[in-house]
Amino acid sequence: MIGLRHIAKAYRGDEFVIRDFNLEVSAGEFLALLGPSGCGKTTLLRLIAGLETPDRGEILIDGRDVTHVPAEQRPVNTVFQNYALFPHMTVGQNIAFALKIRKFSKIEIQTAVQEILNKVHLSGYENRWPRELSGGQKQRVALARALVNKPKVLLLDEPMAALDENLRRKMQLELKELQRDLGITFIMVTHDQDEALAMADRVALLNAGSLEQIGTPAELYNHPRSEFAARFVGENNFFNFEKVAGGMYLYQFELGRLEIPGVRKENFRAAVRPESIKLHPTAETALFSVQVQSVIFKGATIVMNGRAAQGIAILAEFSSTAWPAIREGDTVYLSFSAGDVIVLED
Amino acid sequence: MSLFSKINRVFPFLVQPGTLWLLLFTGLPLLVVLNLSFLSRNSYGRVVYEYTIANYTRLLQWEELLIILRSMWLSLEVTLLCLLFGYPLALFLSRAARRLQPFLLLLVIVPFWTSSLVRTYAWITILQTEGLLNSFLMSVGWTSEPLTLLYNHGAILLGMTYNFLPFMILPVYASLQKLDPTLIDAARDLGASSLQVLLRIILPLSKGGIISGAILVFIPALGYFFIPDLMGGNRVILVSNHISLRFTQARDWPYGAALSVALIVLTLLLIAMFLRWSKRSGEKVELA
Repeated sequence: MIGLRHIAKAYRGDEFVIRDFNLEVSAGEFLALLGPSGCGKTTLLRLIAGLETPDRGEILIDGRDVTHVPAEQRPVNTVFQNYALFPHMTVGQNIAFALKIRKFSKIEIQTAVQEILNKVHLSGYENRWPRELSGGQKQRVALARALVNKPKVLLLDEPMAALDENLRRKMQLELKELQRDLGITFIMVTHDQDEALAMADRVALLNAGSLEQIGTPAELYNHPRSEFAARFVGENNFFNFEKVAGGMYLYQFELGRLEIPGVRKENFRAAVRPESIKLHPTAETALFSVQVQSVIFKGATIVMNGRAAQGIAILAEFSSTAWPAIREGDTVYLSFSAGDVIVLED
Repeated sequence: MSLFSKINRVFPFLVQPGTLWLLLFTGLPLLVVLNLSFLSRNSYGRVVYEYTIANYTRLLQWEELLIILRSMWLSLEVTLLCLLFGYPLALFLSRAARRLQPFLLLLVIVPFWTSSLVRTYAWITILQTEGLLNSFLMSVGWTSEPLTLLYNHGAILLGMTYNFLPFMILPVYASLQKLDPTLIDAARDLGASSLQVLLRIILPLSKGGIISGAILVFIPALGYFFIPDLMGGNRVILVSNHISLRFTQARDWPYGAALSVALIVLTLLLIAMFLRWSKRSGEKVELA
């Protein structure tokens, strides 16, 4: 559906924002471009939209090379970060903008506008001005204005950034439903990992203009390839493992020794998810002990921050049945098993 | 509460001299002119204190109205020409590299540090029969006889447009600079060509600047008299030079005052009209 081949883009000479970027998106897929600010994800979106031209590489949409096709001729529409609604047009006129340019008849435009307003739950708003709308309503109008064209691909640039927490959750669900309903390919830029994991079929994690890792949310969460990915998606504890001389699979790390079968590396860095860490009643069965520094109750779980030997910070998440047994200042005994060690690439 | 009354409350000593200043140097002269417009003159051209409305009835004569209409028409032409030449320039300025913009703006403003009278004479030396332009055209051989470039309607338009161009460029530039560039991206994304972006997005969104510019050009142009005099060869009677002649050669101060009052009232009406129109369309007009 969409192919990005060896894309490179530089601003001001040789400051590369995107370097040798490759990505394939299939039809009807919901892809999230995730990354910290300045990683080039918005530039990537603008390249697909045609608002920027790449310095190198090619962009394919539906098998057609559109690298040099201007934005107005691409079958792609965008929901901009600040929605970019035209302030001198009503909601109806905003939505009708593209259809008017494509010289649709008045009746066709009217039906299409009504239909799409219905779809985004804004029927009866066509005569409102953008300045009279709330953030959520503006977002719906921006969505309607883009979708009324029936694009092959919808690009969304941080669509939730301007919404408050509650509304964001609601819109995430709605947007996901809408995407399934319409079967249009969605590419969404976000810096919010929860949002990316919750909404997308696949998440592309970007780091400094390159693709760090791409996969389903579960793949990305359970098997982060690098420390960057492990740090960006979810929370983690990091340890350095070193093979113990003589032992088959025995490794020494900062807080003890652990047998990790199947690993072939001499030494490596690894991540352990907070929820993989288990609580033990006594020291005997545990791997290491931790002094509790803070405990946060989160409903189903509690999150514990603690300090182990050598001052290493440990983050652990337990089922809240452990509550209120753990208190600040307590010493708790913890462990994790070999299967929970996520071996990271160097 | 208006800013004025707020300041007045906090710093009365600051505002009152200002108010006084305004009353003394704007309000009072206006009252003098208003009073003068109801007086008469004797056969020597001296103002006599006999109150009459004859000056105003005289104003309603067809020849006099024609002068006012002709002036308004000229101002309108000048305004449209300023828009025609100023808008693209303002657009270019607003889209130039950020670093260059202050310098380019300076280029627009610098000529206006010279007196407009001097610049008008400069135009005359360029355009006159044996002027720079004609001698150039003849030396190149594009014309065998000097062209009549001065002392006609075109010359007046040229001089006036040149003089008022920055008053159009600056407010339009200011409104264009405030335009959110993502709106242009959005329009292109929705299929608009460059021309459609200009007509449907940029132009309507800079309407506030256009209206400000139009007011700033049209209204002073109504009262300008030396460019029509110097470049029009004193042949065209406009309300501006008509007024100035009443006070100088004709020695008819009361009628000159009545014409002035009429011009002021007309101007205020036009400003009110402009502002009302712009308010209805929801555009912000800044005159400062």
